[in-house]
Amino acid sequence: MFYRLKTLFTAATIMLCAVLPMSVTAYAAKYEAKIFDLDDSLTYEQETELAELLSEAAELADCNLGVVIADDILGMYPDEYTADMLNTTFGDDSSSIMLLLCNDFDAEYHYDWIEMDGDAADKYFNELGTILGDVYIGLDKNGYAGAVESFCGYFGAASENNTEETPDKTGWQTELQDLDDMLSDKEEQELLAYMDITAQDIECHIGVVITDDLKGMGDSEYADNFADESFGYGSDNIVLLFCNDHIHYDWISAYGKATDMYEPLIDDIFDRVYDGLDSGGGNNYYSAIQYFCSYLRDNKTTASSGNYDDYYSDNNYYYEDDEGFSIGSLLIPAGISIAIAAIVVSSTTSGYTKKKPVSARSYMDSNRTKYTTRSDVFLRETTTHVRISSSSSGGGGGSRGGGGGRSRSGRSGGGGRRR
Amino acid sequence: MEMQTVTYQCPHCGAALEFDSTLGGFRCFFCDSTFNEEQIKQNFKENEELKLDKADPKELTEEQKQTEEFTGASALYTCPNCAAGVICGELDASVRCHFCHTPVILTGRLSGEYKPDLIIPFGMTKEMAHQAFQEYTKGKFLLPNGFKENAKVVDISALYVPYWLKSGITKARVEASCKKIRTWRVGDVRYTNTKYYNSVREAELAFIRVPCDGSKRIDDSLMESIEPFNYSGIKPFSMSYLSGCAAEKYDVSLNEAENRIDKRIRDAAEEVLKADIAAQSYSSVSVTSTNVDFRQKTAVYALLPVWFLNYQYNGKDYPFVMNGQTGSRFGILPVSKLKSFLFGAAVFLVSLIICGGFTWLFLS
Repeated sequence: MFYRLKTLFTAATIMLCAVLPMSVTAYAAKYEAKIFDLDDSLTYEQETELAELLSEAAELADCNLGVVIADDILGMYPDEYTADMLNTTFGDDSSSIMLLLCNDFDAEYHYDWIEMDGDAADKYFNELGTILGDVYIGLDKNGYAGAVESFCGYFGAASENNTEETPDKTGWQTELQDLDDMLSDKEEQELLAYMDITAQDIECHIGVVITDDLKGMGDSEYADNFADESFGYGSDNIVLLFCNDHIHYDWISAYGKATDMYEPLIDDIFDRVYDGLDSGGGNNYYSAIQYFCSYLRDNKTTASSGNYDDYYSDNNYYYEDDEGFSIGSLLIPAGISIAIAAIVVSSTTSGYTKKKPVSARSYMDSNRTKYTTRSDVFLRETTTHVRISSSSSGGGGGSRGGGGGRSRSGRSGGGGRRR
Repeated sequence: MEMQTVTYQCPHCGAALEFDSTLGGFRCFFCDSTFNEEQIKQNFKENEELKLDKADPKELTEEQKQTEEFTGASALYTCPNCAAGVICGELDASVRCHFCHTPVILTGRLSGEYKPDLIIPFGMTKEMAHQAFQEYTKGKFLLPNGFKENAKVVDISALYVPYWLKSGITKARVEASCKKIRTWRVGDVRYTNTKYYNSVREAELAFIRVPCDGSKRIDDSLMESIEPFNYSGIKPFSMSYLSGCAAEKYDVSLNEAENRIDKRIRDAAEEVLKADIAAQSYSSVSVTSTNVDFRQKTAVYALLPVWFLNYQYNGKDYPFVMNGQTGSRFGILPVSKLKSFLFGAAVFLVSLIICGGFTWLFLS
């Protein structure tokens, strides 16, 4: 009896050992997620939490995800380094995405890079620009941890520690930041409610910021940054900046359809805003913001197609020009056409008066040509980049410039005024 | 002080024999007898054996010395056919009697240092030259109206042009700065990666008979525009080929001609080595230094066939030349200013439509 029980127990144990790993395997993650913090930019706790978040994001994205933060890319191109990391970590031809945050600033080229492979490339390649934009927003907000969180967030994984709400992509949002303490709490709440109504009415995000410190940025740059951080890169929004440092301009920036609606009216908007500001003895920011919102609601249908070509400046204000018809856009094709016509006529008529002499190569015996030296010596290499204004498409990576705002793709515009 | 002359007369009827390019041999246009080169050499042995080498100055008589000096200027000769006394130009080596049109070869102009080493006989006839000119003007839409009706051919002549042909081996070295450029785009950022290289090529290059015409009065660029000649048809010089065609002796010395030839060879060597560098898929190649040394070099003097056709239009003379062996041709043509302007306006309008449309579609 005892012998039979022992045999039964042994058999059960063996079966369990055989099945258990399979079930563990069955319940294990389908996709891998790896973080390589080679630069020690993350704490241990951050790395652990982010690894879990990345794992969750990998499942949501249906591919392997990897992040490498490196301060030495071993003399390789960033894209080569990232591809190498991807293949080494996840294997060749796997459905994988690897993000490189490159801190190797001693290298000639140190741009960040996203490498994709397999099905992940087919699915996400066209979103590269958007993914990288999100990563940079996270980086600005919360450093490398924020960058990785935003990377995961793109694929739908949310961090528990992220108390800031991600921009609600379904409703029109508002953001009011009184960094110069010009408004009371009650005024702020009332204004937020009014801004909210206005935002729903005009169907654009609205932001207002009052500050006396642009943190080293220019006025338009600060306003653009504020809009990106508050509402997300590439959203329809209008932002009013009150700059109280007496050096920079107050600024209104608009993006997307807000550009069509309000950019031609920026001067009028400022008139209205300053009417409010000057009322009640001056520095009346409460009225200024109210007047701002009411103007937006009253003029939302005053949309021009953007065909204006005013560009002038005086001591008080200037417009940033938008694209549209101008004399320049006719002169350039005319100039090119004249040059083409001159070249064609000149080359045709030269055939009537002279002929290119036959080269002495015709008399060379190529069978007796003997090369004694053939050398090509590599000297050096440079990589430059330039921002272009067309809308973003899929790409591989980006470069973090030292400071400065990011110019936006698509239609954007703005204007400023100095009080 | 008469110049010694030679003629080739038909052994059957005594009329002048001329080289017929269609036949590739010699024809008597009076009795229609034909002779090949071997027969000419046989029948005119004394002409072929005529000593054309430069004589020792110590052995010349006074009269001969004067004749030698006179050879360098205009010369008087007596036509062996009609006995007329005719003065010919200072460079003429083969002429026709102005009176009876008998081809006469002036041996004094072909002797000594002026004795040619090689000759390419004519392969193109007068009719072919005329036809070539007509074809050349076809399709030239900038010619003035009425050109074809009003252009008059004033003169058409076959001429053996004196050429210096230089062969040799050169050692050439070319150094160049090269770039490989790669661009790619990420979102709204365009990246450009540039790699810089220093390339060197050294080679031994062999050039065979690079020509330069030995006549000052003939435009070098005109002659170069109807090259190359096919040297498979080149033969040792024989005076018989000159019968019926004009010929000139050179007045550009070998030293003078070598400067031009050497420049052509230098340019060609640089071209060859630069092309070898560019074959490495560089985005740009910029030559920084070129060095060409001439090693073994030889030069020969040859007479090469060219058809000259001069025509008049609106009181102005225009030249047209054709390679007498290969038919390669070139001529200077008048250009109508009105037609040039209208052509330019049409190109301008078409370009404006395309550029304007592009600007409107993609940049607005």
